[in-house]
Amino acid sequence: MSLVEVQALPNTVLPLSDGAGVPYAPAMDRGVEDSALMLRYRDGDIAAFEALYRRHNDALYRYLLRLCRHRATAEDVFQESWGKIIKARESYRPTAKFTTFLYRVAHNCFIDYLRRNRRHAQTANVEPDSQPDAGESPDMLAERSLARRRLDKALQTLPDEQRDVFLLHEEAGLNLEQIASVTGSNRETVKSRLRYAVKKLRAAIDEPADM
Amino acid sequence: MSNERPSPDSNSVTDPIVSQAYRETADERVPAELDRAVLSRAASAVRPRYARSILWLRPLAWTATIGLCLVIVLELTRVPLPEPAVFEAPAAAPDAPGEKTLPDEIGDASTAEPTRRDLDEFTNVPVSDERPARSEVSLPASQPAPAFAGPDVDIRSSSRASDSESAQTSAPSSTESFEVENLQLLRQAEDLARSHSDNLVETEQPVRHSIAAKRAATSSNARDCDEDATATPAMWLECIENLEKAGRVEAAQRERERLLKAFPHYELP
Repeated sequence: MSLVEVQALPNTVLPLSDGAGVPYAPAMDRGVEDSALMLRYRDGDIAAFEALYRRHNDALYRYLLRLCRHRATAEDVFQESWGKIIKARESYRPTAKFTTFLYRVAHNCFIDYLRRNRRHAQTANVEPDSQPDAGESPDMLAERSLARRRLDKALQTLPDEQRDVFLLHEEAGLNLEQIASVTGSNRETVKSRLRYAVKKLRAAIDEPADM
Repeated sequence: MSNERPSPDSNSVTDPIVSQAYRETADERVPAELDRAVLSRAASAVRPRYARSILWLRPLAWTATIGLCLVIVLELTRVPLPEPAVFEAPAAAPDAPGEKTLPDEIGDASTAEPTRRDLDEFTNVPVSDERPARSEVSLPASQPAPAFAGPDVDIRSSSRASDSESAQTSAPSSTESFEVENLQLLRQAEDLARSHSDNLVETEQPVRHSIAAKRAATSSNARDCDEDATATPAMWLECIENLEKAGRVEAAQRERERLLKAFPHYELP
């Protein structure tokens, strides 16, 4: 099965959390479907591609940033992923959700990068570049910074497969079936990986502060 | 602090606390230069598609243009060009008297007459009774003189005069020489047309005689009343009466019998 001919997935949305649905789906204007924008780009509409890119660029960047754990690598894989999307526009068929297609391409690019460069695991270098809110108290900022560091550290210590599944769920908003389609695993494996990842992250968040 | 947070649901694979914590930490955005790089790549990927079509269309357009030009050239070469014999004829015509060397194109008598008339209008040559010797074209002595011999003579005299003038002048103008050539050409065409018409007159006489003889034979032998006269019985009777008046009683009797055969129920007066 080629990248662009992802099989249509069932429309059933699995309950990932109680009443939560998709916990962190990127905020997008769904006036026009992603697939329609991609088809318009295939026909030469660059503005359609820009709209499509603005919908997904940040989430994909964060996904790759945490998956690669190295900023330059993440940027390379990010560009490579979008390059493949651009190249695949001629043969694109809207048989599946565009987000699934996009993250599948990015996942494969990351796997290719891992095969090309084995030393990626030793070069974890992700520094969050968020800016603190001006209205927060020093105590809250300190606590938030501590939680962020714990979560980042816990994410970095997760196995690649578990981190991949967690990020696909949190950043892309994919359900278990879609994650299974992206990673090439079966649904139960994805569910198990996600459960382990969440459990470890929760444990890292609940750790008592050393201060 | 950890005791205050809800524990993850055992039946669910996700934890809202973890999701919330992740959302708070994950706020990185794509660098602007990375955005520009991807968008410019997307734009350039669409542009070469157009350029590729241009690259494909360009040789096709050239091929079509060259093919069209070739077709036009071939079509033009197929069209017969007018031969320049009309203007070469005076130069080729010998000055020796008694010889009749005329190109075929100007031998047509129908074209000679209007051209001569036009030339009469443009060349106001004085009419003279002097008739020069017809040495250019040798005609049979038995042929009668043509009706338009007068103007013909004038043209010849004028053309000869112009010829002599052109011979005397060291550098005649091109228009004058062209008129002279045309006059010579016209003269030759007239002579040829005249000879053709005379030949026609000669050949017409025996034909007329043979037709008259044939008519006489048919009238005496076969039918005294032709088909027009026998169209109706009344007309046929009129023809018979005419024959009787003319004294041709036998012929009238013969036509009467034929009338009765043709119209057996017709009551003769």
